Amino acid sequence: MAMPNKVITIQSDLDIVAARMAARDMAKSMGFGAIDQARIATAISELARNIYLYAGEGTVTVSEIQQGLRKGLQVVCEDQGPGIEDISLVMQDGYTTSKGMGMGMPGAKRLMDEFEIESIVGEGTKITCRKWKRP
Amino acid sequence: MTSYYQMFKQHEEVIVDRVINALQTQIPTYGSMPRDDVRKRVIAGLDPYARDLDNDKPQAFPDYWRQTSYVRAQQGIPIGAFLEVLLVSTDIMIKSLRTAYADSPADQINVIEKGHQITTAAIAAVYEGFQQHKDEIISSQTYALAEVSSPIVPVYEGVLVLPLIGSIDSMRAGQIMESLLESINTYSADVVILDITGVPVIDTGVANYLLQAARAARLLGSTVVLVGIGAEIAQTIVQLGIDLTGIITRANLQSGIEYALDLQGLAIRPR
Repeated sequence: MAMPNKVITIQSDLDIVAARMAARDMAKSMGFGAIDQARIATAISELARNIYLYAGEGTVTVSEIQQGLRKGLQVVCEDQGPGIEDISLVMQDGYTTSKGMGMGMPGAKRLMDEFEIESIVGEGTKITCRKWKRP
Repeated sequence: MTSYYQMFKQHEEVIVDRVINALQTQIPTYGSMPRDDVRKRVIAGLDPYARDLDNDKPQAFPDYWRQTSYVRAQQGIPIGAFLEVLLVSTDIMIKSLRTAYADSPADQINVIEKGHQITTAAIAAVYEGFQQHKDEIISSQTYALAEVSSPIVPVYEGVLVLPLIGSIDSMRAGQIMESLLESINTYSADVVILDITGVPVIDTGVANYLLQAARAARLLGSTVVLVGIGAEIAQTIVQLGIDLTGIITRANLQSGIEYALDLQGLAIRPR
């Protein structure tokens, strides 16, 4: 069954807003509650900002998924940026290579239910995260 | 040999009439327009087309459409309707001239080739005209938005309220910081209340801007109070792990103002 999905190209500050609005709209139409909508929007805001800050450009794909009876929202953030050398380090609270707070990645993980990072140095990064709808 | 323009002039009346009929039957806005008004427009449009048939490169006709489409865009006419007018009238123009050159296949081919070039250039020009109008709208809105985006409201001596509305990106954060610090100086404010009721998402980037603003304000001897954190924003802030202990927070604008007055030994009391 084809599920709706939306691809947003991240090239500027404004695209971050577009990405989180797309995710929030989809979450809303799927019937996620206000708090989960805010969680999803905030997580995407973090991940999309990372794409913009570290890779310059990339894509965010938001899609509806289904596993058995439960429905969920999946977000895939991909870029062809520098990649992440030590994934365990970026997942630590407070670690940053820019002037940020160093809370974005671990924070986004806490906001979502599932969170996977694949990254090859020099080739790029792909982050897949999901939020399941509570029955 | 007569030029294409002369040939057009010889048949002008018939061609213009055909175009007017086609426009008035096919395009609703022209159907309700007085025939003389349509005639003026058609003549103004076809003349540069005929001139361009004799030119090496299309010039007069695309120029005409670039200007006209800019004006039409300002009037709010959709680009699709506008392109239809262009296509209908150029089609009739070419067909009529081909009939006029019935005994000269070389001229017919020439008219078709040239006509194609001119029409294509005019379509591009229509888009340019529309784009120019859109660009002007966008840049004027950007200015307008920047002006309304960070108003500073002095509510009492030494107390400022800064209501933040919409998404905060790095450019806006810079503007907010600037106007915040400026007005602390201008109003010699002791307390600045940042109201984030209207900010849909507080991520680490935005939180960082807010903390920086609070720190900078403190350097000027002013206290920042953050108000208007909604229930869902509070949850996401905690889960993100953002530490806002550096900023004083209050539930809403009212408690923020009460706190600010209290700092100065004042209070709002019933009479």
